[in-house]
Amino acid sequence: MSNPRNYDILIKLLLVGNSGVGKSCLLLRFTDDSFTPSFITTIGIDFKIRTVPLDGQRVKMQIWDTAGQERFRTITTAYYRNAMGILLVYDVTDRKSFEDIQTWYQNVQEHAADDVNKILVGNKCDSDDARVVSYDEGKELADRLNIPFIETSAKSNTNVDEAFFSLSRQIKQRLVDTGMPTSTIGQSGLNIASSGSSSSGKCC
Amino acid sequence: LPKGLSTDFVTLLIRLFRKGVPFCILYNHLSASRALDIPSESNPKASKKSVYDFLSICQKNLALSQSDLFMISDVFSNNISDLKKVITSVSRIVDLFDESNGTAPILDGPAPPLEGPLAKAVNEILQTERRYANDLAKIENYVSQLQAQDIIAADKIPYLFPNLRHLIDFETWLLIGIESNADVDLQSHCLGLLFAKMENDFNVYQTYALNQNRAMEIAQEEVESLQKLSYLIEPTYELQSLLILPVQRLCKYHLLLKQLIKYTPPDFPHQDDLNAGYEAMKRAANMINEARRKVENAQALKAFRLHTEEWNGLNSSTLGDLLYHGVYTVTRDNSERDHHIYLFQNYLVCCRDSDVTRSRSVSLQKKPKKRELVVKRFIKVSDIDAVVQIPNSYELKVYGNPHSGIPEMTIHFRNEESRTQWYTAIRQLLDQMIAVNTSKESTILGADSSASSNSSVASLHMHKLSLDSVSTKRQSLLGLYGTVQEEDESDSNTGTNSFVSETLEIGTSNINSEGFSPSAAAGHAAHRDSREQERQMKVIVEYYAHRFTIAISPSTTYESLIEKVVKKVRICGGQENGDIQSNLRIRYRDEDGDYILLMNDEDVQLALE
Repeated sequence: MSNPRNYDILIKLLLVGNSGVGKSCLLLRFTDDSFTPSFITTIGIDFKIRTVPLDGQRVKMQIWDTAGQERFRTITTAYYRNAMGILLVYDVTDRKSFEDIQTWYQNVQEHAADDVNKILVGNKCDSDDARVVSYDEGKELADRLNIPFIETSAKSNTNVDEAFFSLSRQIKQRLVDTGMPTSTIGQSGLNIASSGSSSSGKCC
Repeated sequence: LPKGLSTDFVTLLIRLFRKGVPFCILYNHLSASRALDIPSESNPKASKKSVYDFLSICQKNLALSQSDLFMISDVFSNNISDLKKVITSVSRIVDLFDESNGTAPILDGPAPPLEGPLAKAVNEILQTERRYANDLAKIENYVSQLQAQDIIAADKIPYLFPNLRHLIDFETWLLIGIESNADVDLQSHCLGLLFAKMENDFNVYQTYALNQNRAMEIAQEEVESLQKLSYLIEPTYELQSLLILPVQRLCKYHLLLKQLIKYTPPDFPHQDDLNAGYEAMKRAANMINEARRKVENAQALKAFRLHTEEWNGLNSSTLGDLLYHGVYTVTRDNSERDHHIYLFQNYLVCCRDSDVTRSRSVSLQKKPKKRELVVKRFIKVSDIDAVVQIPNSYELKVYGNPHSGIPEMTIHFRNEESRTQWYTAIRQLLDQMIAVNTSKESTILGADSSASSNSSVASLHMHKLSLDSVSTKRQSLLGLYGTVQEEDESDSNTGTNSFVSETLEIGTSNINSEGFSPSAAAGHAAHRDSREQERQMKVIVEYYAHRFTIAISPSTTYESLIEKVVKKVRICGGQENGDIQSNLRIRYRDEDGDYILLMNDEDVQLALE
């Protein structure tokens, strides 16, 4: 796994959102193609990996899940630090989770790199009966935050790949735009912080 | 340890080695000519001798060098890494005898049978802990290669993975404990107790966590050099992930235990231990989090001193420690603005960037941008009259006394959590303030006798006056209660019934420090204000979740009380209370904690008495 040749680009993603919105389910669905509503253990895992071909390149996604650790805010800001893309996840059947997106967004603004890519994800879109947040509301919020929006269902496997792929494409595009030659990314390392402020000095 | 196990298997192994018996047996296998006597129980000298003989015959007959083997002292050391050396050498020699595996490495033990969610939960703790131990071992190897190959400056290495040895040693013992518990049947494991007992040992993570930012920076600075070791650990994503790993693990124990509790049947004999372990892990991670926050605050304070270009009369040496800071939207005089808000021990300070077009982010996690701050306004904590949490929002309203820099201001937080933190912190400061200032206050009063005889902060000794809104749709609850501490009330030496005379006593003689609750701080601040007014009583009003103070005279009428409360609610209570006057009812809480409805002047007087 330390062979840098088995992928062209590595990107690090982070899932944030209230507990119970289905972050872990999205992650499992995307990386293992499984959905286990009754018993999932994602607690012990540090991150999940999936390598996918994307527009002719092998993109290795390392995806981190922060569930349950939000209370230790100071020491967990390290998760944000090297994230290149962040999925802000809410549950379309839980209005509070939607309202709290604002808070999550501000956390990201505060702790992640300035140019980190984001996507708003409304999960559990299969539950039409229980839905309390409409598609339009989600779209409106995303437009206000100026980030893309997608509704997903980990349960029925709707749009899950699309959510991750869409974010990955954005990141890839940004890397190309900022002049990072993607062919060398695998070897020279790709670091969001270093690409953002490579010349700045040490922290006080 | 679980029932039925007197000790864990590692301790057993250490004891076995120390007896020297295994070495004698191995020696006898290796040496054709001469057989050693198996040493008897507890003869340390003979044990050492057999270890020595074993080592020398290994060198002679097996052509093993000193570095392939271990030292005699390693057998008698309590250090796990020394034990590992012994095990490695011994298992290697055993392998030479027999191609089949000798001692199974600790980290590859068999997984316990997987049946049911409880077993899975235990197994998850075990498996992930093993993997974590493996990752730490990988890091250890990496660090030793860094040193051996002189890849980065030697003085930087300790900062990359500080404290690694201690971390690994602690981790190994924890893993041993988990392994021992996973071996026994599910009904008798003591995982909860294990974590509870080890709580203080988790402090070992502190050094690591405090240094984490620095470590990540070094890893970034040295990316080029670290490429040389990329066959061990890829220096960007993999190394960065491993740097986070220990803290990530620390934050997960409580989750793992929570899951274990969830799947544990209620009749489990060690249920209390499990809960204790869960709480202990929350505390452990919280403690590390707080320690790190303190350090970051100290840095932020430094940065604040450095970057503030206009102080506007604020004296930087009197600030005290920085408790919280952040960029929040502040509403004042109907205008909304983003400000850098700093809560120091002695001051609450609002600043803004001297260049407003700059990024509003002030996160310490990032390299500090060059920014200059301008102090816009500040208030002494001792001038804060009250602090109120606005319900259905993340807002905090701060009331200063009229002569202070901030008579009124609303801070909009991003979430309940930070609002609560700030609220609690300010309340605590006000609380401390009253204790400190009590003595000062009495001397001031003593010097100014006219003031002392006329002024009084009346503290209602009964506890609460509550207002009931009899609105058909909604029950408004408005509580008023005095500033005298509720719990300690029965312990105070003044009688519980003679509250009016007592309150006067408090006002005119000395303020009894134990007598004041957090809210008394507000009372204290108002003390000076009310000095000119005659015999004011400070009453704390609770309305829904609102809480504020009003000053009333002891001879107040029902009408004027209602009027005052309504006025205050209108000002402080937010819009949702619309027309409250017509349907307000006031209740007070008496010394027994009962709520008593107030209907007219007589009731009010009775309540005040």
